[in-house]
Amino acid sequence: MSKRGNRIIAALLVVVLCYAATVASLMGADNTRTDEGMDDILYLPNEKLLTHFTAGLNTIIANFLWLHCIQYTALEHRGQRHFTWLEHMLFTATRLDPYFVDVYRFGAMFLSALRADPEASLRLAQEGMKKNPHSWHLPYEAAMNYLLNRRDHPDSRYYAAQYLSMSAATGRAISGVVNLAAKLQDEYDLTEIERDMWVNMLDSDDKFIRELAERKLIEIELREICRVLNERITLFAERTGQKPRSLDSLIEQGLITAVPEDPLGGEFFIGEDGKAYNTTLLEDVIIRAREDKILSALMSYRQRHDTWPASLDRLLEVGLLDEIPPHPWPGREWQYNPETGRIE
Amino acid sequence: MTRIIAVAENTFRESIRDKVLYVLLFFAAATIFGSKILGWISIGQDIKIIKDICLAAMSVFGALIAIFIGASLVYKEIDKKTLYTILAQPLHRYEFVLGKYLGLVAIIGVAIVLMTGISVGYLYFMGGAVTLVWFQAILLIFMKLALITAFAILLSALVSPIMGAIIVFCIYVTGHATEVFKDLPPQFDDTISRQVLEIFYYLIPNLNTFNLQSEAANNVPVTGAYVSFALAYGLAWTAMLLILACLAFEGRDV
Repeated sequence: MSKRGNRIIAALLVVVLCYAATVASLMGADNTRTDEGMDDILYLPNEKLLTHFTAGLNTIIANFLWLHCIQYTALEHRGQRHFTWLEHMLFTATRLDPYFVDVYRFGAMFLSALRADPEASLRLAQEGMKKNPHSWHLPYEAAMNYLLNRRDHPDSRYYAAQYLSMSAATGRAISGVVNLAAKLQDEYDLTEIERDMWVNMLDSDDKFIRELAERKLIEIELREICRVLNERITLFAERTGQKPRSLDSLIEQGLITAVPEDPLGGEFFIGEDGKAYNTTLLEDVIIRAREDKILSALMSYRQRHDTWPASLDRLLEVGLLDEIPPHPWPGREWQYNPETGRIE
Repeated sequence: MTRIIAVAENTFRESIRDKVLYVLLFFAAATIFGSKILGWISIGQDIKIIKDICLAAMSVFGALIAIFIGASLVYKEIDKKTLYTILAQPLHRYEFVLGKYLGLVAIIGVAIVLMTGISVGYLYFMGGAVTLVWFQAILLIFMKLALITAFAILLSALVSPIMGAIIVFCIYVTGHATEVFKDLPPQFDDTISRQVLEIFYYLIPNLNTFNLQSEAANNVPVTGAYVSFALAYGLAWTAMLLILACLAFEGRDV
């Protein structure tokens, strides 16, 4: 081989050696850096200042910060579980991109579920709600925060009901959220919030949601009529010293002009307990009482014993229920069929 | 007007042969297509990240085109002495500057249209969709680039290309940070510093006015009134800079 060829081969060998040296030194540098700890790398001096010096790349930096935040959360979750910088990173990312709903949403989840900091989680969700009032996820996360992480708070269910109403009022929430909101609204007198929620949902793109909203608005009116009827029944009792036998008794006393009509086909009546009821509303309450407690207990029993219980009392004996919920319809009892597991 | 268009056409033809343009467009396309990689490590935010990167690519690479090509546009004519031939023609100096500007803006417009086409196609391919706010954001990016180009043309008539590129780059960065002069901490309340800094806020173009990237990536609607104000702001600045560029070139001894 010529001298020139030898020189080229020698030069290439030197290049290969140099490249090997770069790989080795880079690996050494990376290993050294890992030992330095994560906190120093993650330190962001001032989120407000950072917002101004992104040269228009605020959303890109927010994305990178969010991706870094996911990795950081995963590493901390597997490691020391301190999550020291989690809140700072989340608030910085949302300041850089205030419409980045997923950062508020998943960030609130991370803060409450992983760092066990429901206050910070709620702050982040509330901040997100101010900037993104049309997102159903953020009030839903706030409600879950109250229901799951702040159970000891005396008004946790009330606040959860309010947040769920806000979530459903966006008209974009999934049906599970809408149902949960309706349940909690029944528990508290949140009629105005509920009415606003369903009125907003009349504009929904989804035909089913629109129909549901129409029905729910009628149900609100039916409840209002029941409330007024109960006031008249109290008045009747004060005047006559006895409970009215039927709604006609109220007409006779001039307390109402006619028996109210139910556009959903139901009827108003006075129950044995002397209160006004509506059959449409009762059907709804019956379905919920049955499905929420009794049916789920029956299903659990069947899974455990591979058969339906002989009676509903059996559910109490095995500890699946503390009590059989009373039938919402005054004077009626649950009809249970132990062969089919059906309950009416 | 015909003479301005003739210079603009010539500038367009000249700039389209510039290798820098293709290198920058290649990197812009590579960035747009590479955005999916970041989406993989997110929690279902792929489309949002792709949208962000597409818009950022248009903004950054568009600005680089304006800076690298714009800063040398007039200077190159002087350096190559081709300017003498041009000025010997029945052509006003301001017509030459405006023609150069319009030619470069046309190049940037073509680049933006190309990048928009690539982005929209890629987004649809990835299962995303774009709404009106996406195009509003692109329109304002184009306005911002037109303003940056006007700065580049002004500096091209005054200083060397390297110096011009550095200054325009600094204006690009500072222009996105001017809100810091307005968003002052309470310690500045009732001080003369606040008033002075607020004057600075109006002296430097606020390029964040043209930044609708967050809204576009998250599908947050923007009013037509805002877009109109932003366009008016951009057009007023651009007109002002072009008048200054024409005056500077008129006064230049070539």
